[in-house]
Amino acid sequence: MTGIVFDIRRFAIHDGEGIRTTVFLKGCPMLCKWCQNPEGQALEPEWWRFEDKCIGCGKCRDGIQGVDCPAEAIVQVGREMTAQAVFEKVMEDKVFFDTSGGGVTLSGGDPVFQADFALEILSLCKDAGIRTAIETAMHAPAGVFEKFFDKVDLFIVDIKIMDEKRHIEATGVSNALILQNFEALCKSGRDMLLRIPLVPGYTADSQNLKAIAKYARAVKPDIKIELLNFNPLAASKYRRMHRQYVAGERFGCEEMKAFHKMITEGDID
Amino acid sequence: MTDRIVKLKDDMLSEMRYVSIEQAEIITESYKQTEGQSTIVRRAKALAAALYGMEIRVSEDELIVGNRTAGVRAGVVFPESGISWIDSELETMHSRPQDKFNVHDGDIEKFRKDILPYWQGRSLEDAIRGRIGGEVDEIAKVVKLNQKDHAQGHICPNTEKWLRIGPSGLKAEAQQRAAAATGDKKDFYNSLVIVLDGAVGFIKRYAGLCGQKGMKTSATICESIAQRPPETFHEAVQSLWFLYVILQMESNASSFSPGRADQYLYPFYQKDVQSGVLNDAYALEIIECLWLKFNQIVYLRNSHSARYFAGFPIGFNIAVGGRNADGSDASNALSYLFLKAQGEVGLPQPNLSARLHSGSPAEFVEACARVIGKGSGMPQIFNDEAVIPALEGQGISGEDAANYAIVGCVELTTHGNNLGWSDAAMFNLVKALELTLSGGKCLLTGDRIGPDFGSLTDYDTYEKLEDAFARNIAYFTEKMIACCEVIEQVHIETLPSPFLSCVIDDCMAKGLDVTAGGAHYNLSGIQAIQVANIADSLAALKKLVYDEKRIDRNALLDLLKNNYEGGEDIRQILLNKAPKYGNDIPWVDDIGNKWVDFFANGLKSYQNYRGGRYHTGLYTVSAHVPMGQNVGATPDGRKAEEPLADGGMSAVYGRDMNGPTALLKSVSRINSAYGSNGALLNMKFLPDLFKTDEGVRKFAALLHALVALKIIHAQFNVVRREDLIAARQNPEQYRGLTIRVAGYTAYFTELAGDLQEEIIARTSYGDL
Ligand code: SF4
Repeated sequence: MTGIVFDIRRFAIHDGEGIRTTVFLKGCPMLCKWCQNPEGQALEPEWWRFEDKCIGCGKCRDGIQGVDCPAEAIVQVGREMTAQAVFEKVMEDKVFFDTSGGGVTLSGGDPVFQADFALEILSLCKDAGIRTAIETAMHAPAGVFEKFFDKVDLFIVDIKIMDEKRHIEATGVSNALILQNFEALCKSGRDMLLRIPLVPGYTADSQNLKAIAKYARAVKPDIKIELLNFNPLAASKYRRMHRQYVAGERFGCEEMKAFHKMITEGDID
Repeated sequence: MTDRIVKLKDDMLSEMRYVSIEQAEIITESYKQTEGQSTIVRRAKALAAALYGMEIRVSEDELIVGNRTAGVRAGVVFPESGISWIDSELETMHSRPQDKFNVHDGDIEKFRKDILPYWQGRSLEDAIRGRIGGEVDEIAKVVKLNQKDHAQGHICPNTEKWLRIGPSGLKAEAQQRAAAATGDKKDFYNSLVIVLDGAVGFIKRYAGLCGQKGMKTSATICESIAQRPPETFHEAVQSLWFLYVILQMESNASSFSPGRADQYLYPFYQKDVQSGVLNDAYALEIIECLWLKFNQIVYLRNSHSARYFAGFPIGFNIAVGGRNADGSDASNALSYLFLKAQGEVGLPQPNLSARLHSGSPAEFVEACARVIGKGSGMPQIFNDEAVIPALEGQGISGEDAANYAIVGCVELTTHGNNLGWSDAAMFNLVKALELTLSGGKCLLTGDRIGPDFGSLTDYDTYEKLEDAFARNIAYFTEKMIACCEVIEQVHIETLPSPFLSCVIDDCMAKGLDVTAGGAHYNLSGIQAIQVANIADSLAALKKLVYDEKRIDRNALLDLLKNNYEGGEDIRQILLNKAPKYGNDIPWVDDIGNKWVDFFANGLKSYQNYRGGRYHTGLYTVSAHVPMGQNVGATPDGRKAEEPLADGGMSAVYGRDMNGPTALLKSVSRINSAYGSNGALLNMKFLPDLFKTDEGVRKFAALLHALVALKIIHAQFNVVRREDLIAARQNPEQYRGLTIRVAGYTAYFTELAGDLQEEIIARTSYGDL
């Protein structure tokens, strides 16, 4: 079967154990205002134009979609691929997975959005002895989400906002499904890592962080929680897509320490 | 580092570099007195005169003493190999773009009055120019012939034997053999005795000077090792250093390498540690003193050669770890101390290499990774799983192959029994491709410099183009070999090397000088330049011109001639619409392999002048910049005179877009058998990767994968771009910043501007 992929990155070293290949699947049911990969939100392919590479050949006078730009100034974001093709691409780094304990990570978008496609990639990889991980926000029907339990060695999940109303405002959806899936996942005993993205004005406040930490530990006392610092670099993508990006800077060392304290103190009370 | 090391390092780096003509004066004087005697005896006497007569200097803080000049990092003028270039460059030596040297007042006059006139017409350089000057120039744009004005070097002597029997033991052996010999052989053995006497005298002079300065320990050590083999670790290290100083005084050559010093010094270390006279802290301090010494000898090159080998690499190459002939791991406590010393001292020399194999302990690989993370570009990594079979493929015994060492930058050799002649020539395959497309005319000048086997306009199929390319390669190979033979002959005639012959097996047994074929192995290495550009250019031609017919042959040839003037759209298509080497695309990488294979096979039909084989290397050192300046626009979208890919196995910079794993996969498709003379892959990582244990482990995993992929070599610059830019702007503040150039490390601020920029531009990985 086929699906839409918008990037495959080799030598990914921040998405799980060892040296990994991260496959970015397009499409996400949520619309977080700070999304790092806004090009991954919609399922359909889109076209971007990089002004600085353009040599002015004039080929794209009537629109950029589908134009074969000689300077690669126009790129198609998102391509249809078969699960088999993705698997073969992943296999190219098998030797590095073997020496590092790494494997494949599905990211997005949200990989559970193209669930059947994702599951087929994961099955192919697992059958070939490759370790699997996914990065997901868990917003999926419970019956769909559970299908991943057997196929994934490490779940990297995130909970962004505890308060439902604020969650809807910032992401466009309620967090009810997310929390339900989180609890099911915890119960399943799978390896998992909880990440909280720090976004100024949205997630990075004491009340929210403490609430997430407290909730998560109540469900799974030994859960690993990681804070993801805000990354303003996505701003250029938003500009290219003519969209508004949340404002903010990376948090400094002291602020990060304070945030860490918030999530560990949640442990105590 | 101890205060002693900090002080010694600082003193050394702040001392001005000068040209030294002292030894040249002594040699000239000696030669005047030995007219009529055989060359080898004259060479021996000239060396002995220098050993007895050169000014020497020691400093109270030194644990290891000795240098070939009183000043440190002096540029030694060496008349026997060639000085006419010095004559023409003396005035600009202090201001040339690369490797500047000051000149003492009065030395220019002395040089022109007392030295130069005597050597005109007598030096190696003059003899070669006299015999094949025209032939060398004729092929110069395709083939860069080396060793035309200096001794070969790139040799790993039998240090183990030197330490086992010492100069007095070697002398006894030579004397014994001399007694039974006649004719040339008698001359040979007598020369050995002369230089060994000189060596003993030299070491004793240091004993005397140390005594005068109150340096009791060093005085005693020097006195002892002048007379008998070393017994302690400290004595052994001091003795080792004298061997290398004297080898440099005899040959003034780029690179004599100690090789696997962690192996042959280990018994001394172990014995001293057991008897309680040595602990690791003291051993480390001795090692670091030796490490500093390696930085005190630099190599004076002409301004042209200084661009090819920027930063005066001298190639004291030490290899740690690796496996034994029986397959077991060889790393020991000294391997780790050597790595530690490198991590602390962080200077360009020694050129530290680590040998990895499939059974290397994780601890050792991680120790290497941590030192690499510190940014001095060392250790560079060699892979036993690729190197040993490659050497065996060149007729080297299994035992000698397993005991391989590295000389110079990345050249491979056996230990103590090989004249590898590893830098015989560099063959610019990219230029040969240019001539294939242009019908033998240089695209830069329009001059005819090769035969006309047809041009791009004539080749209506890709296969025809390939045929013509093959004919061009064969044509220039034949011309090159003819020149190589004459060069070797002249070396035999002018630069016999009796001292070196003492420490290269089988010279003593055969009674034959090392230059004349006395060594057990006699290889010659030719470098195939440059895989990436060949693969990219031919892939673009194949796909866009022949398969897809998207670009017209005539139009493309015109654009190549005009350096893509008015054809930016076509150039962009060539750049972007054909895949490039370094991205794990098998068919493109295979093109690179195919032509290296063709070239290597072509060499097989020749034998070198000493009766040994020609084989190939895949490295350019820093020559990719000047060699690129020699090449017109290429069909991969590269413009005229732009650098070629760096290193040897690297991708053209900026073209490997899929990260380090894809690059390594591409490199692994170039058969490592063709890197038996050495191969070079540059990679650059950001320091962030090495900040956590997890990052170090991931990097170590990459090294393990490199071993599994049978890639011969890789070296790593770990430095932030911003630091390099800052160092360009404020060189004084970054005097100690070292950077991996190409098979060797140099001080970044001492590199010429264009090379600095080039290094800044190389792809870097880490935080993807
Ligand atoms: S097709 Fe590409 S190069 Fe041509 S005008 Fe459009 S963006 Fe520029």
